[in-house]
Amino acid sequence: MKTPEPSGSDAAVSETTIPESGFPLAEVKDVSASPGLLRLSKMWWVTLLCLILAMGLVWTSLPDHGPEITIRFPEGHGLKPDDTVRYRGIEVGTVTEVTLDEALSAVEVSVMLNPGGGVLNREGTRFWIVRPQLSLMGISGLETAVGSKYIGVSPGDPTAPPGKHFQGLTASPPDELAENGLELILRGDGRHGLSAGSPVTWRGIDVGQVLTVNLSADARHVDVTVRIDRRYHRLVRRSSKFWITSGFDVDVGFSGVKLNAQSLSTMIRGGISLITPTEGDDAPIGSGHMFPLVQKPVTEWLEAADNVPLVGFSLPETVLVQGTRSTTVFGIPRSRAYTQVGLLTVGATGTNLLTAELPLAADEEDRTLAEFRIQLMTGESVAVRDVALDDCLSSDNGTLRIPVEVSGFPTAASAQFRVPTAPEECIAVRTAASESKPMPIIQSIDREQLSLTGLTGGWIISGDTDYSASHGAPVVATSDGKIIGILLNNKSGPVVAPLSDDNR
Amino acid sequence: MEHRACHCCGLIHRLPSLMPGQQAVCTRCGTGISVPGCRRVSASRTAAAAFAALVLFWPAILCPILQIEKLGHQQQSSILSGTVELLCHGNWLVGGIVLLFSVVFPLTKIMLLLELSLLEVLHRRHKALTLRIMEHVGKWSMMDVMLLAFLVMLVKLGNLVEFHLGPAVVAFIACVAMSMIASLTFDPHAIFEDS
Repeated sequence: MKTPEPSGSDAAVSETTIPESGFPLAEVKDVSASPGLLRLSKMWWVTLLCLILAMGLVWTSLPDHGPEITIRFPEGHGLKPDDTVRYRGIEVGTVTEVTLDEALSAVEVSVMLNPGGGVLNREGTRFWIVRPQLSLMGISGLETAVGSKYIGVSPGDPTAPPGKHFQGLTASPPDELAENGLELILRGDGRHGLSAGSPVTWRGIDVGQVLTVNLSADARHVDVTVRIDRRYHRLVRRSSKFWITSGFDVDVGFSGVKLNAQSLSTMIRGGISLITPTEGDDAPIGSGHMFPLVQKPVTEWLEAADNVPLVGFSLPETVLVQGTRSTTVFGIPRSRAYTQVGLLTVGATGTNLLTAELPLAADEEDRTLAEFRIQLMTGESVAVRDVALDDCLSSDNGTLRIPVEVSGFPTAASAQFRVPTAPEECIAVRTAASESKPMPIIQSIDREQLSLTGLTGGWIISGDTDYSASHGAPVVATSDGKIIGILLNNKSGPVVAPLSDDNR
Repeated sequence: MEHRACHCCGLIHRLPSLMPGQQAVCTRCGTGISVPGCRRVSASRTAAAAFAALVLFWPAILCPILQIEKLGHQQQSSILSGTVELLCHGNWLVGGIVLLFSVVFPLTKIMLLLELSLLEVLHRRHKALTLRIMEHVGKWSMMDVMLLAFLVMLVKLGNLVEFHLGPAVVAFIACVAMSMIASLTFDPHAIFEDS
């Protein structure tokens, strides 16, 4: 409050300059229940809340990290801190530091693995820097041409003890995808354009690849190490023959020009072909066996080569299940023919048909299956009518076991079934019609392709192979030839529905 | 008898003597002029909000606020690390402005509010000066503007680079809210009132 007059006592001044009557007297209001302490503390509750919030935020932003490892690379390829370590395309760690070692002979990369990447620090894990590579063998690592480099990782044995220091590879290991292959040494007299990654083919199908090409100890030969994929092990016998298929032959004669090339890919990349003639010793061999590598195949080999069973057991013969599926589109009933694969089995309850889910008859109250036909590959067929759904054994994962009364059709005995415990290497089998006798068609499914799902209880098959023709086909384990499930094409893609105890 | 201006409409009143549980209100607009222990309550509320803002201030500037992923390069930055980076790159003007307006001034404002309402470390004589500094600094503490900048970035850059907002954003929003509450509840009249 200001007092314009400089003189006089304070009390006198206020008395004189501001007449009390000039100002209204403030009203007095009762404030209910003196909230003094409560109001003092109310805001402090918010403060407490904020304190908790701040602590929580700090906690969440603290970097959670897994094990820390160092990897030595002979070449850094421009790797920088904050670059990532990826496994199967997703991030499993981060580069924290890139330094030169004291002798300037290598690059030390410190990597902080994510908490989930705990298994990736086991001894035997291999690391390499993924960078764009353009060669005749193909293009790889193209995403790193524009973006940042990253470290690829191939996990070792998960039971091995954890390590801290690793030696990085100069390039991605050629065998990264095919583990436990059959390693063979082929001795030839020249390189013939072969290099690591060149394919090994059997009648034009890739069955393996070249791992290394180097000189033999006496420098008189070239030793080529090849790896045959696990599933083609059975093709290689002691009598197997290997020859070079790189490049192409141009044969100019009186009859014109004859061009002989395997495929464009082997023409560029070089390759090795393999065949196993039946005569001679056909005992299976193990890793490390040495074969001669010749430049040209002998025609007799190809002629002599008969069938080599890819699987060491007899395959079940399947039947076709055909019928029509009625649907209603905007009130208009329509019917669509469907064909799927089924397997006839003989159990304690008589003959059954094991197949995928079938449509119900139009009147749903009856709960009977719509009429369908079972057709053998040779052409004969039998119609199945009026099967009540309650008589069938339907499983959650979409398999159906229908009691049928047919005879004279090929059946599988219950001894051929096995309930699997975990995903394993398997093949989907169906029988194709041919002139002389029904022929089995197989589609192999790798263990790596299978992943468990919690929802359907099936094993989802990854990869881009089309299995639509094998809907309902039995899936046979390659280890013992037992039927372990049924292949289904769900909305989410192909799955293997494993057999369970109740639909055995 | 004491005189007091209503801080809402400015009318000057004489204050009657008040019993506990009573409050003097303005005859014109009905705003509370004083309650017994008014200073204590108001100051306490301000102190609480200012303290909350102070607590939240540190995660807001230290925790990662943005995670930018551009062409496979990933970068995480907090307000402070971003500012330091600006300064390191020689952007003295921009870095200095950001540092001043979004770190130094807000912190000063919060600290001064806390001082005025709770701590009273400084002598009573400096209260007016402190208040004046606080009011000037407060005008330039622009945390809320920074928040707007992040929003603009979110809308504009969303297609160019992939970015995620970090935990600091939550702290930042809460800190802005709490410091606003603190300055709203702060009653400059109360600090001069004799207790």
